[in-house]
Amino acid sequence: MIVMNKRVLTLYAGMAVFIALVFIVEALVPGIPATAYIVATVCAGAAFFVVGRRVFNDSTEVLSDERDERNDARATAFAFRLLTPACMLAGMAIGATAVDGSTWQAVGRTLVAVGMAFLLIRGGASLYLDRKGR
Amino acid sequence: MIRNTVYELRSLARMTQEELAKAVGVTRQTIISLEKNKYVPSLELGFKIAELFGKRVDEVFSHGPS
Repeated sequence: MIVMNKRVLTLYAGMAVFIALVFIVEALVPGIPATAYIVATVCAGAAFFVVGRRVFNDSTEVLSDERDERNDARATAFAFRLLTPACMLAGMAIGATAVDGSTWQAVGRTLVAVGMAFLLIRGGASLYLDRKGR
Repeated sequence: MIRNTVYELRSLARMTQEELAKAVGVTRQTIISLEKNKYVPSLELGFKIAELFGKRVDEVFSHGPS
């Protein structure tokens, strides 16, 4: 986990405020098109990314080190191992029970496709790293 | 299991965990985990720590049964 100094905490607080604002605006002002939210989120995301990079690069203290990177990789691997089969199983279960042509069938197929895409990307990345001699 | 003598060496050098962490470029949490033998550092970090205390890597880290 990265060191939570004042600037990092402020950054996270800013992100939380933005997310809360989106929900509040959506509740109070109906009728705003979805594209407006998408554009706002992409712009905010880009802004937070730029600010975040500055916070990390300008910090005099070490915020994240090899142990954090290693734990992050392990956590990501755990999430992948849990979600990929869950995604495919859920997709197959939905596909088996959904009515032909229904939205649920599309959802089921999408879940299976996403699960398979995860596996293919993981396999490709593993091959690449192996060939690179890592 | 990899064990180390980082705590003893740091105490002898009268360094705080924060000072050691800054000197080798890691967070204080990593030094804490290291001293508790809960974290096995990379070779690079192992060398940095050993060199900081003027020791060989095998004088700071040892391998034994878990």
